[in-house]
Amino acid sequence: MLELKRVCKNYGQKRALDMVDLTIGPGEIVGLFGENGAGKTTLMKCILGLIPHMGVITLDGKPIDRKRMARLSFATCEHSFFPNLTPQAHREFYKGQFPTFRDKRFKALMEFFQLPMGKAVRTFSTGQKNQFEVIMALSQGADYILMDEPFAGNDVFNREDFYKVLLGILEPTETVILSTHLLEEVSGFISRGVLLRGGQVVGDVSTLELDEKGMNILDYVKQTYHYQPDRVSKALRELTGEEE
Amino acid sequence: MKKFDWSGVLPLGISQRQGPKVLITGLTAGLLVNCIYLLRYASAYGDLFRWVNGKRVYVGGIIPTFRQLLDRGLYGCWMAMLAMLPLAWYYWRSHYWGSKSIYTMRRLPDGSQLRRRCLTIPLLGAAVFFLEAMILWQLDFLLYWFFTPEASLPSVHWMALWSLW
Repeated sequence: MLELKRVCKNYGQKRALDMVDLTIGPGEIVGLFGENGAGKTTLMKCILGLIPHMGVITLDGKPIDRKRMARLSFATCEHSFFPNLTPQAHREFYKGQFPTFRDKRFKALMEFFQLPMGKAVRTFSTGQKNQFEVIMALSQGADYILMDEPFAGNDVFNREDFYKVLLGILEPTETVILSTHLLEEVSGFISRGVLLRGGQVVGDVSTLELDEKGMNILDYVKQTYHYQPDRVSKALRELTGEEE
Repeated sequence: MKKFDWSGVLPLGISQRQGPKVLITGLTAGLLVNCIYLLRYASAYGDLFRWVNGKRVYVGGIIPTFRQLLDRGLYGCWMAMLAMLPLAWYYWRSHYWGSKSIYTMRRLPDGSQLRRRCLTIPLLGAAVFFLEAMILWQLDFLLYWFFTPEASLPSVHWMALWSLW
């Protein structure tokens, strides 16, 4: 169980996270949504201990120290692989560092996405780099897999393949926290949606609850964000000076 | 003899050859700059002699102090030592080039990996270049002491050795 209690983070005067309380259990696939600057990336970096923060973050009731950190993996659109290393070299390094490394999964995913094992990752296309980033996060053997906009730059077919593969390979205890703007695409894949706005959790809903209400995640986000459907037409009318 | 594996002490993706290359470059710089001392000493030593009818004759005189002759002769070593600071920074910054592999390094269960890969070569280099400076300093002084005729040694030559700093 990953628990965040009263997590706050400031960047100078700007409050990036404001008293975030969140509990994420094993096996959940959580979509983390919010506009740019809502605090999604900051939240993930706080969980991973990459940036200092206030508040308490625990894993199974204990602070996330070095040993427990191996239970978290991270795929980011900024990429965290070693560009001059080949996938084969990454595999060897990860095997040495993470005893729970899932070699079989790594090989299967590399084959599925037809990524070359012997070429330096820097020579890959953007889409391939994203794929490789996610492959490493999924193969690390972590219980909690954090993904921050991992498919930025991938085409829609590629992304769909990924969702299918993810659903197929994840074990019941593996938890995914996925930050993305692609709400509709991931709506069939997530089990819970968490909405951030201005560094605060403004919505937290399971897809089961949404199903019961006959809503989808996009409707829920629009409702929570008080989205005005007529704002585009209003703006266009003002710009063109047309009467209704 | 088994070749030393540098890969564990260099940032991932940096060529293994860089380890010995850094050390050899620093050592060479130390030796080359020390040639200043050798040239100065050779010149000062030559001044103690005159060529008379094709023969070299000792004419006496006092040779400059060791410190005067050494002057900047060890600067190569000191510069190589100083260069280890930007090298450590370069190794650390290499985790931001082409990706943010720093995230992975900081997440590793073995917390010493990042430090080891960024600091080992710079620290080893600094130690090796310091040792080189000490050895050159001793050798330079031995050369000065053994080869200079006793009558030409300044009375403070021992003191000159220790007043290096």
